[in-house]
Amino acid sequence: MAHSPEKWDRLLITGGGLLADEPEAPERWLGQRLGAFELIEPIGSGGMASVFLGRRADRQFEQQVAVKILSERLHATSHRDRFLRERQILADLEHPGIARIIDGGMTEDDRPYLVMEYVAGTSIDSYCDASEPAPERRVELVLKVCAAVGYAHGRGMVHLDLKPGNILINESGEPKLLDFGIAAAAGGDDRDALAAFTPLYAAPEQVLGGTTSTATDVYQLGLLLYRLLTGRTAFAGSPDDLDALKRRILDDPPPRVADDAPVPSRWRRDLDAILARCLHKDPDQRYRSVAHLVDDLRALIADRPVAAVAATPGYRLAKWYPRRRRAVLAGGALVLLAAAGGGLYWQQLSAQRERADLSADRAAAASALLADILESVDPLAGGGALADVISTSGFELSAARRYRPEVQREIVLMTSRTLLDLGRYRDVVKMVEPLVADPPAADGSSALHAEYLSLLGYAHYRDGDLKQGLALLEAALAAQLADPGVDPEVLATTLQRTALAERRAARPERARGHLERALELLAGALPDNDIRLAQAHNHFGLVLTDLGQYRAAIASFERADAIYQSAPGEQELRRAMTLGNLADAQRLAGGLDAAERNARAAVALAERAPDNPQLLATANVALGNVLTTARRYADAAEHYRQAHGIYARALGPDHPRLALVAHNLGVVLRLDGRCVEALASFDEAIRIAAAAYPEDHPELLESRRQRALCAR
Amino acid sequence: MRRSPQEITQLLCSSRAGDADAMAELLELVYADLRQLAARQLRRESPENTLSATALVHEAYLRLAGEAGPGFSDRQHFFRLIARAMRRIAIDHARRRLALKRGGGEHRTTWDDDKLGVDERAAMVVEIEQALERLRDGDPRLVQVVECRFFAGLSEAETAEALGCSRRTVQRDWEAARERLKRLLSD
Repeated sequence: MAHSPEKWDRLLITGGGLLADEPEAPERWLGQRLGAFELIEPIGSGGMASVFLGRRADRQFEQQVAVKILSERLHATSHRDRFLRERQILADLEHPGIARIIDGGMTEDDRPYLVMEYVAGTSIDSYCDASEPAPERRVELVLKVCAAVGYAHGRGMVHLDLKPGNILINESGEPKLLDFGIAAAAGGDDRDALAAFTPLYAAPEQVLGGTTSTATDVYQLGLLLYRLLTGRTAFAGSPDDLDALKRRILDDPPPRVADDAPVPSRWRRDLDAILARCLHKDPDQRYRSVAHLVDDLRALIADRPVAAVAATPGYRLAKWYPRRRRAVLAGGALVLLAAAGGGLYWQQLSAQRERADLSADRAAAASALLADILESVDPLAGGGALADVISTSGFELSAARRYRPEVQREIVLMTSRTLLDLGRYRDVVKMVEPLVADPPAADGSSALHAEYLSLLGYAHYRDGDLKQGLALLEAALAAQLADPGVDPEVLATTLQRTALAERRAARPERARGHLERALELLAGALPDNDIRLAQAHNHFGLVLTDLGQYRAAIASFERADAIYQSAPGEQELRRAMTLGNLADAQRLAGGLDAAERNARAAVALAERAPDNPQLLATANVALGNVLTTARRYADAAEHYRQAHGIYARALGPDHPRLALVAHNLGVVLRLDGRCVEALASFDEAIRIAAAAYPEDHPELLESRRQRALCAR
Repeated sequence: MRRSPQEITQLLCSSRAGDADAMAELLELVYADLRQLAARQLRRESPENTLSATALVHEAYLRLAGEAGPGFSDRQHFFRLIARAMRRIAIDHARRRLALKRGGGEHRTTWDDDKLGVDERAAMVVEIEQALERLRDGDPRLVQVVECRFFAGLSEAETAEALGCSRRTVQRDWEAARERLKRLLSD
């Protein structure tokens, strides 16, 4: 086997091969001081390190610590530097499930040492063997370990030696991981070469001396899961025969859960699949991240489908209707509580899911209740806190695909509508993305897949990613147009979303075609005063404005506004938008008085929706545009500035919408004679637009032209 | 093959004066002694992480120096000798380990906390030995540095003493030797 130069160097530096490992007499360290800590008594020692109980020698305050002295010497300066750098990364790992690193350094004879939080407790396997917790609790323990490992992965640290002996259960019953990143830190420049690990818990890539990664930790988490649930070691071996153990690790298939193992029989199949996924010989075939493993473990204990099992319809069905006794059906697990202060809280009663005996009918009723509640959410009145709740529990609801598709669709559509209204585009992306990850199955789910694609594309577009948005919308549109049984309203929705995106891409002719088709579909399907019709008219008006057909545009906006006024329920939010658009068209058509009146009405309506700041920004832009046309530049600049501030806060500094406002602000500043400020505004507009749009986008070209005018 | 102190002193003097036969005989002597020391330690400790090369060398020095009598004070010559012997010890040890491995031998290993890398290291040590043979043709001084630093575990200062040069030279040669070896080995 060829080794890397680094590996050779490591061996050369650590010294004479077999003869270099000096046995440590732990006693020699007792009473010695390392940094601020004094070593009191030995806790344990192994081939790789000795561990001592220590305390602060300066007695500034009482602090018990564990001090780990690695037996391997680091002679080379580069390795020492590396270790000390790693120490800092380790010290930055702060997680309740990870024993904290307090200090570290080199002993006088070049051994690295680390001072760690002292954890009093028993190892996780002894704990499970002794107190015999229920299988659910054992999985919970593994989940907590996963949380700690996932946290560290997020900070670029891997453990590589996750064995029961490195996981202690403390006095409050919580697992604490020891030795995080020590393998990596001690491994010097060559993390995978001679770094110590434990044969019984070694992954194939460690046995082969290959590249270790987060997937190695996933493998070892699988071994831990197996050990805790079955009481056995996955690849056991006689201590006398390391080679046989290596061969088993490399060749034996992942173990299955034995029939007599103390796990619920309904878990077996899923558990075998989860273990097979964790323990795959090829790191690339394991769970892509600890989070994916967590998802499946949660699904396992909640009797939901796990991703590790190939998603055959029969399996899904069995999971969704488990003998009609357990309540795994959608809404039944969810209760929305209205608390005294008017605040709203989701509560996910997952424990009830196990016990309650909800029939499918009751589940459907519960999901109808959920629908009512979501429908009644008025973004104009304090929807912000609710949005937080939705956006957290919302995608948890849908992401794991734990509901029947039709119930899931309801929840996703309702939740995303609220989130879109509130400008939480990215939350919608996060919610929907996992739902379209898999290609549609041949079982009629392709319509739903297209609908999700459409929603995802729209969310991307609203979030400022026009390219991605358009690509997804076009894919959705193609699928729906090819589907003879497509729901006309669903198709109309996609047509409108695509039209809006095409409009932003400066292709108003295409947008108009889509909208004409959408209006046709909706007019045949909806009553005259349905607000969905009003929305479509509003969109159509926008495109007509783009095309310079201001009279027709004004007529469209007025039709939309008339519907909103006659429609049941509060429609302020949508009215404000339409009035702002109407004002813009009127301004362009030359009716400045009516335009200013409507723009101010839009601002007033928008001010009543504190949780939807973007609406207020849009209204301010509309008013600014009117005032610009009326040559009241200073007033106009004021409103653009307001809009700019709101967008920047809500959408971040790079959103295309900010480019538009910055451009407009630049124009009025220039017209007002404030050229220096104007230049800065144009620069901002150009920077954002250049990143967001193709080079020949009219807005970008116009910003460049205006800047040139200004620079003269 | 036991020798009297006088004989050892005689051999030392002859080998220093350039007597190749005396040198070879002395090497045999030191080697046998080191092997004995090593074997004793191996029985006492577990076989994996046992010997400290440095400790072994120093013990061997004390014994031989003692046997050579009070007249003997040539540490330089002695360390160089021992470094060469240690090289043989290490190689023997590695080869034996690999042979045991192939023969499904009888060695035990501390189970849970031990390293899996031992066999691999043994194989690597044997490879280093082979590369050293190729290095010797080009630059014997580098080979000596490797013997002292890698096989005998001598410090920079001790190596400088053994080779009769400055620490700076030892540093430079050691770097150069590793570079050369790495290139030879990873091809």
